[in-house]
Amino acid sequence: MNMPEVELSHVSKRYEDAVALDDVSLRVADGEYFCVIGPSGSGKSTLLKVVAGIVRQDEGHVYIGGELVDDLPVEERGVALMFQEIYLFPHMDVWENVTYSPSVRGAEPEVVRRIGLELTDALGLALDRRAMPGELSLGAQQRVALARALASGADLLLLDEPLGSLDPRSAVELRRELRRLAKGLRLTAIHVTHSQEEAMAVADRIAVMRRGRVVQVGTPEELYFRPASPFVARFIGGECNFLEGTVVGEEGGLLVVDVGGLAVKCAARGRVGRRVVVAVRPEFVELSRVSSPGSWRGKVLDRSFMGSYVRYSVRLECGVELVAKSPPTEAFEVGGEIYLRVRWDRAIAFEYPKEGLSRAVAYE
Amino acid sequence: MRELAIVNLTKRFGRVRALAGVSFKVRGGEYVAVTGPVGAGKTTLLKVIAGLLEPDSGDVLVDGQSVLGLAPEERNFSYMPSGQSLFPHMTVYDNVAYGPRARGLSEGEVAERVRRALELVGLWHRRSSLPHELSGGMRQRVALARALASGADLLLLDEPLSALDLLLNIELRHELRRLAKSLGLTVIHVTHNFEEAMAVADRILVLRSGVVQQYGTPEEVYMRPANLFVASFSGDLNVLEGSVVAARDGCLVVELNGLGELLVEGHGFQVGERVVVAYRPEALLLSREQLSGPNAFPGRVVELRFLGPLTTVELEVGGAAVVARLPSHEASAFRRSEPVYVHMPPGRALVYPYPRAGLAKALAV
Repeated sequence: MNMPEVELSHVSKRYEDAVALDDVSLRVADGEYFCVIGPSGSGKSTLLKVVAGIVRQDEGHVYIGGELVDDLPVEERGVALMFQEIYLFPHMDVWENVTYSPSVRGAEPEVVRRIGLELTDALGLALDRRAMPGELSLGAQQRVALARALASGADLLLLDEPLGSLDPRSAVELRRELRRLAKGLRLTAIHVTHSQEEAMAVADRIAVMRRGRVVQVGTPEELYFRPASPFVARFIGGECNFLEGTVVGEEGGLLVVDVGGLAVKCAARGRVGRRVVVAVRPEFVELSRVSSPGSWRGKVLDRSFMGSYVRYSVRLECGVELVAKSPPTEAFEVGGEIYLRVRWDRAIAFEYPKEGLSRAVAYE
Repeated sequence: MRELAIVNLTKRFGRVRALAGVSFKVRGGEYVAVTGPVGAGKTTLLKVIAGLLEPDSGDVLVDGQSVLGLAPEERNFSYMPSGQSLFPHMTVYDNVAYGPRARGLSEGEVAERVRRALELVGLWHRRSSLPHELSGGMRQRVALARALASGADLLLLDEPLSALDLLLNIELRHELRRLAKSLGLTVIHVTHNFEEAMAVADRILVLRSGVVQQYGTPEEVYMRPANLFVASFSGDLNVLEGSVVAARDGCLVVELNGLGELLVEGHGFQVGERVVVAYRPEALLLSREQLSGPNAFPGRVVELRFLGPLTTVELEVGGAAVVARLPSHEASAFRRSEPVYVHMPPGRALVYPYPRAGLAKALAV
């Protein structure tokens, strides 16, 4: 039987002036690499601390391996912790740092040696065993910290912004290693990050948090193609266009929405006559020098070459501004006239949020 | 200001060489990003231009005239240091009004500038707040508004977006650029993040250990990096080692360690020379069947990672780990653990002499 390795059941946590977790329920499967993302203050770090036993929830329960752990201190929960700050003993070399935990717990010297060898090998530290932490790059130091955390024999890895202090290149390398290691050692991992890109790169599933609540859980594909709200649509992918419209009909399971005088078909929930907001990702806005049926005329306001894509901001004749991302093989001049087509089959309509669009998608 | 010229600036702090002969020019209205790893000399450069540090040698010229003899406030530059720099006891409005008032503008003109700048950063409605009542991101936007309202010829921004949440950072990059462009400002923007540099800048200056590595448009730097360090700093990179076995007509045949022969475009290499051949992940092409033509290597898909518009494909090719990146709708043709052919287009290869100090040192940030 595949027991849920970690389960949170109706967990709430209040700090003096703020709700950090508001009735959160989650199940993370055995061996799963699970990410928790959200803006600053969304409660994601508190969630991790509750699982670790660093913070005690006000309400609800936490189970690890099917066992209620509410009353277990952090040392007894069998978790390996890793944070943005790198915690190493500066006066001990890599080997001593990694083998510290089994040594002080009185493991046989042969066992200590085996654990040390296995982990330094697995984390690419074989050549650095006698190096002092200060001689290593930040990326290597963070790998030592991870090896040390794992040496305790934990099979649940809890990571709070583990790549936050690294340069972008080291961060990309280490995130690949983190996933490979977790899968190779059959660990369950819960990884908290504010970077949706990092989460997409490592996770089997992702929980998106906002204002202390989990607003959606899904695979990277599910969150990207079927976001549950305008907020998730904006958060996953980094940038999103929102167009306002009205539902005018229904056809073949799709809604017909009037957007700026254009009748478009898109996947949505909603009824005829209702006001909707249509989320269109910049990569589903196509630019062309020639007009075609259903295209809109506009003007290129700005262009940024971003390596694997080019980002354009375009103003339509009606005054609406859209962002488009195109392959770098095409180039459109700033100030030039352009025709823009939206891949409506990729667009998603949402009921117009009662609180207003800008509040509904705010990063809070 | 029509042109700012930085001429052969050097600056030492004890034994550390912060700037070692830095020269470049900025045209009026141009947006330049200065980027490089920690310790590259970026902030020192900005402070020398601002007049907060004196260089050991070299010059800073505005339209041909040296400004080194001028005090910071006489240079008509606006310098925004990294980190929090607002006056804590002043309202948002008074913080932004500080520069124009110090310049002796009338209250009417001051009010107009402050309103415009605060509207641009979306915080006009918070004008009566004190800095501690705002979030970190809001404070940073106020600091930006203050720099914009100063009326200076040249904005010197040190990591202006670093205190922001990543997502806000990504959105504000483009706003900041548009704002500067719409106001006709000349900007030098320091960031350690190359992606941020690409998003904001007309031209990018890459610094390392006080030495200019490259100065060019984002396309030039990303597509044709001047050296291995710039190639690695400016984006993800697959690095292969080998040696030249034939060189003719702008083409090289490189014997790659463990892979076999690779045909690439490249000049100025000798037969027998050790080289590094690098490919951006999106430059690699994948196919299930072997296609005709050179540079196809059999490999295996290790992992597919869906990142939205693009999917990263981790591959194993001849014992080496290689990463490709392709549009997600193309990546759906490939499966984990399945065999695949990796094509390395000759024209997309970045070829460099093998670094004498070793590969790790050449790539280190």
